[in-house]
Amino acid sequence: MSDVLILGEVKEGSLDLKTLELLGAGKKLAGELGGKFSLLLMGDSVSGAADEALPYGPAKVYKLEHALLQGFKADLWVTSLEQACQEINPKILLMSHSFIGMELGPRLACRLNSRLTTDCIDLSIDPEDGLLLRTKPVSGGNAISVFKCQGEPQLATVRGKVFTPVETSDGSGEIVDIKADIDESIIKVASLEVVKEDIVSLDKANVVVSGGAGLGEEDGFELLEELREALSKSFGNVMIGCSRVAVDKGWISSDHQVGLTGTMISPDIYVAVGISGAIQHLVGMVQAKKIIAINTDPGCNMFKVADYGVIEDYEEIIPALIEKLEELS
Amino acid sequence: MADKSFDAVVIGGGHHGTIIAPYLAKAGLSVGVFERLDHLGGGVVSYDDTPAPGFRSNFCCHSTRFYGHPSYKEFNLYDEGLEYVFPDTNEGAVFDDGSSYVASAAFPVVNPKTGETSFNEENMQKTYEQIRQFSKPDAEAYLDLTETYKEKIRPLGFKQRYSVPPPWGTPDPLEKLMSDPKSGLDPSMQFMTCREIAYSFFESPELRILMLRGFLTSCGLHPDDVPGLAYIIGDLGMVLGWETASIPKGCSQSITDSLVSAGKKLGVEYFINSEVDKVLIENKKAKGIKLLDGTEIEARKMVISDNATPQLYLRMIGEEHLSRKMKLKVDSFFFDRAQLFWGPVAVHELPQYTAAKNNPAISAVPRTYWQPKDLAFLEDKYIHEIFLLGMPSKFFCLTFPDTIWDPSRAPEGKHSLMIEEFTAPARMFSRKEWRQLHDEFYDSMIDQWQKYAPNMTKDNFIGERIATPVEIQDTHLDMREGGWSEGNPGGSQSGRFRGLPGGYRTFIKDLYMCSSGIVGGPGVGRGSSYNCYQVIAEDFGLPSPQY
Amino acid sequence: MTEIRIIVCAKEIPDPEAPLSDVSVDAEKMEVIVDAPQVISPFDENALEVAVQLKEEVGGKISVLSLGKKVSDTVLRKTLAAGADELILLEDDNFDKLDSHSTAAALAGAIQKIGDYDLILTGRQAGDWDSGQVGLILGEILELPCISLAREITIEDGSVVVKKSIPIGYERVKAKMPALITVSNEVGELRYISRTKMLKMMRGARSIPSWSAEDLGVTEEALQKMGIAALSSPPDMGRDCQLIEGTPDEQAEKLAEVFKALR
Repeated sequence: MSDVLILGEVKEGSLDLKTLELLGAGKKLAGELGGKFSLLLMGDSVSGAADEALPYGPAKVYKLEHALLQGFKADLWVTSLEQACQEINPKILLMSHSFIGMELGPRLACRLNSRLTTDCIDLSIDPEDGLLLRTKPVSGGNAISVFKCQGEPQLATVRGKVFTPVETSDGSGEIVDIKADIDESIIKVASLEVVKEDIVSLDKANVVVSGGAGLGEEDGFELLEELREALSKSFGNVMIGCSRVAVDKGWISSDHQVGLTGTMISPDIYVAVGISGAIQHLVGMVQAKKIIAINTDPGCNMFKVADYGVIEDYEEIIPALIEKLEELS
Repeated sequence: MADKSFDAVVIGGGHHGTIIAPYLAKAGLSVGVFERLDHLGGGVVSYDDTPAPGFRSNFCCHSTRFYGHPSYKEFNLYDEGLEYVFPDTNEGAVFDDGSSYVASAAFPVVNPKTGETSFNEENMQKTYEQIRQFSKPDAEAYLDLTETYKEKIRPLGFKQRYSVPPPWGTPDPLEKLMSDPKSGLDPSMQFMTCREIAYSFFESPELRILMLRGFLTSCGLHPDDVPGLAYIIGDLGMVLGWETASIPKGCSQSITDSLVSAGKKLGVEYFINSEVDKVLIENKKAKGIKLLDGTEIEARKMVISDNATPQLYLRMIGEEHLSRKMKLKVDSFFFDRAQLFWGPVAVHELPQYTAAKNNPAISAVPRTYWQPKDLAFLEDKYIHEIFLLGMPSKFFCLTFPDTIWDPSRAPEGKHSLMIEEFTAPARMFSRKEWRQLHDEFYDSMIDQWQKYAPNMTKDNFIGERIATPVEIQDTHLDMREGGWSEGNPGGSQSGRFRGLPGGYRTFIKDLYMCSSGIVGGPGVGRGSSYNCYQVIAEDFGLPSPQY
Repeated sequence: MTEIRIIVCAKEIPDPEAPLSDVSVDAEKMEVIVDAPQVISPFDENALEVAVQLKEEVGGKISVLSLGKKVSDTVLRKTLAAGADELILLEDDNFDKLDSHSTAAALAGAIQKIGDYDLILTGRQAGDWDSGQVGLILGEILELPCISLAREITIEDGSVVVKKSIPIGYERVKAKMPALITVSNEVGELRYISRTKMLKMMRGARSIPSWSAEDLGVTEEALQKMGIAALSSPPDMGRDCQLIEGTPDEQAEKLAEVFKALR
């Protein structure tokens, strides 16, 4: 029995940063419950990560190792996690709102007949009934809702960069091995191949030059690329971003997409070109330190969140801007 | 403590704000105009490099006769740079059976500087012949109506437009006409729908189509709407082309520029990027305004609002100050007329209509419709398809080839035309659907235009900047739902019935309203701001306008 | 190749692109009020697009399911104009504000009622509550192979092959049909339906069936509401935007200065 269980994620043998954030959240909740928090690690080899986790203070680190858990095959993982939950019987299970959590969460919720809240930005315990209060942005971020549901375990996936990572403490916990009864017959979806792509890591950018529907055509991104190059002479890590519409139209690949279903970023400078600022986009970039908006429509949302605004056709302003930037550098 | 102080504070530097400000300043008041956007003029603006590099085009207001507004003389706007060109024709139409119609002005302008007109028998005959090709009785009716217009209606025009309407119970000049049996107007016409009006004046489908499409273009009224007397006269005048077209050199912006230039000379201070949040009210008196950034501006004598009814009453005054009756009156001001696909297209060559073979004059008409000769569709399906789908399957498209008369708006040898076709209120479609509707409208327009003018192929187009109602709504807060008329204009909202009781004087002392939301109604050069000044002059003992 | 039967689940939501000024929160009634037109949730449109593409390739039939307290058939009829063969509305007073599990249970009821299907497609998440649960739970209830975040779908001999997005690129996976797939926007936006096509669809006398909870054999107890304990407006994201004015050249100059100062 554990009060709060964290499903950790292991990246290249080590604990993922998001897991430390989850441990931070778990520790807080355990405090509110007057209970303990533990960590569950799954994979083909997670011993190193389990050792690494102990100093952060979980009461237990459950280690579920199985050769079949190499890579992420959702069918095997969800069954293993289901079995682990039955064995550990936690009151609360937290997962990261990551690729893994987004897939496992709903399926696990269904199997355990519990209710999940995804992409939470705050969590606390209702002192009345000990249930988990799950705070989540809804309507693309236009409203903040707090959910409370019955069922055990109480389930939530947690947005990254919201909770402070846990710090090391006494670390008197123990590592507990648990088993999973799985075999290949569980696999309904077979992996044929994994293809690595040249993915833009927008969250590492210092400056993002982003384009949207207002570009009018795919060629608009060529102009943005020129601006990106010009800015690269003065700034490190300048990258191209985009709105959802640009991806839908097939102008650019989705790894460039900023927003709720793209990448959530907080660069030093965000330049929004021809992006009106649907709320789903805004929540993904509004944390930028400085926001510059270029748009022909003075009434658009983007000007409301921008520090600097230029009401002008981007095809007019950007070539001139590139020229001026060259002069400055 | 107020941050600034003026005798008169004007909320909004839209069209009527820019008109009333110089009147107030000329009367010796200190005047501050506070505008939300980064430019003055509201809809009366134009942009360079629109719709393509080297072109200049209007964004909103287009057909104007500002030379007829009293301020034109009062502030010597001609000398301030507002110069009009006057083509001899105004209204024209090309039908899908190859026939066409051109109205020549019976009262053309003879002095471009003053806008002075003179009756022209020859032009009247030309128009007669044009109508004659469709119907002899309609052509005869044109002659009769022109006579009535000349004798009875036209002399009232200026007074009807540029004077404060009499109190209810006392007929205004147009209402008086109804009781004159020789006027051609009878009292039942006040309550007729556009369709009834069209059918009661003309028998040919061509003239009926022109009347119904004219009601749409002049005020956004649908065939089954009630236009009211003023719009009946307006529509007849437009369709029959009594008055000449007029085109300001350098686009509509010249109107705003000349008014602002006159205002600055008289000491008016204009503040752009200064959105007004509230009217400051103490003891039911307007004391000033508060800007969105918290700045307070004191109004020593008065506050004048150039806003439409909902924005002024619900936002800037606030619901808490309204009686239930007043609130319901504001609520009953609807916004679902006069939404357009609207904007300029740039072309290599002007449309060459096949109809010009038999009617060469159609090649250069300031307002040219191309439309199917399908009255039943216009009556029964046009609006329904628009409200269901955003656009009709058959366009009744109005185009304005202004560069013929003002070549400064396009690079040498090129042309631009404004386009007008009706669409639905902004709320009816999502943002994505509006983007798609825009694209489909543009493609469909080119397809349909070619049937009338075969050279209007895709290759002939250089660029476009056709706006949809969502764009208009986003930029012009008072053009709710993206309709240019700032609220439905027909029947109960036409003529002197427009606006809330009290008219120019609101129910709050020293707070006036001068926008198109009040008597005068929508359209550039209408009388609301001029009349509002007259009311203010009366209340404060200021001099009357010279003209 | 044999024809396939596809079921697409499409949700009607307020326009997610609506400007901020059109959205307000009624904290007391715990409702988000959006003064904007209703649309089909964007990812569901993506799902429909890929369904239509598959139908074009291998032939088959597409049924669209849309669940709510009351669903606007004028909004959903667009799916028929886009290429769906059948639209079924799942309407019941008890379908108001359902939680993800209950929504999936009701949809599962409808799908079992239809009976014959090869693929079930849903959007990866709905554009209003952004939960991203219904599709996968539906797959679990029906005990189907579940594939999430599809960016490309092809049919190969009774199996479906999907390129699914993963953090480092994509993974090609294969499953026997019937299967459930949640679709992401990389598949491309729903084809444009011309007004003429829409007009035909609107005029079409075809009646749209509506199934209630009872028709689906779903009991009231199985339908739980979303447990909303509180609802509030988000913190103000607004900043004081300084507009850069002048000719494009002057604007560019000033903007370059801004960049210089931020270096």
